[in-house]
Amino acid sequence: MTAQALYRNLLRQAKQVTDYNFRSYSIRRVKTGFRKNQQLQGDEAAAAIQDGHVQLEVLKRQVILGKLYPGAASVMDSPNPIIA
Amino acid sequence: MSVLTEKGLLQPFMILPGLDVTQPFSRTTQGTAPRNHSHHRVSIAIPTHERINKDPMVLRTFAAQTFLDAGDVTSRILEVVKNFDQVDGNKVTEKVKFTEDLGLDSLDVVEVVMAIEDEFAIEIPDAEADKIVSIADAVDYIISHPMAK
Repeated sequence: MTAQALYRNLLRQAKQVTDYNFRSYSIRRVKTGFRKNQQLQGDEAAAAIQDGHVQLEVLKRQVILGKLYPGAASVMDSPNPIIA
Repeated sequence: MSVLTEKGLLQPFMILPGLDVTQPFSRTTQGTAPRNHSHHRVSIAIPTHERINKDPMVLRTFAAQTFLDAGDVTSRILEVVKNFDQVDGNKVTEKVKFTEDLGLDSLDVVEVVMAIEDEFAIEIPDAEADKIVSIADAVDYIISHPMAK
């Protein structure tokens, strides 16, 4: 899997998180993490990619857990947040 | 009487022109047909000229042609790319490449392609998504995708 594909898969999983707050955090964490490590070379880059794969599995499990035990929906996920 | 509508829902009865759907079904017909007596045939007279072209139902078969028009796809993709944060909207034309012409890095390109996926409600597999490096590539992929909306 290329780094781009890893980024795509992480973002895809992050967008599926049920809870608004965890979802926002996951998307933000993936984007900032890749930006931060963008300039890495050689072994450091390989280690970061490896860590990304581990985190992808973690995120997949969290998405499933979030769907199994959904909490109350955030007001931010309401179709009309103003009057919710 | 059930009908497969555009959204694939089975509706309890067809809404026909001239039929008052707010009234119970049997009352709006002949007035003489008792309810719950299925052996009584209820006929509704609808003039032929009303039946043609005035039916509110849009029937569509599963074999319907679902590919999108290239012009529409192009304008929608241009709009998506123009609205992307890191992109200067004035530079976006049908011929630009994301990296060379718009100055996006590889992570931005991934995000642009994902924005295009969202626009057309599809998911592009990794192998195909990595090949999309320009507006033209994206248009080609979308117009050849049968599920793109």
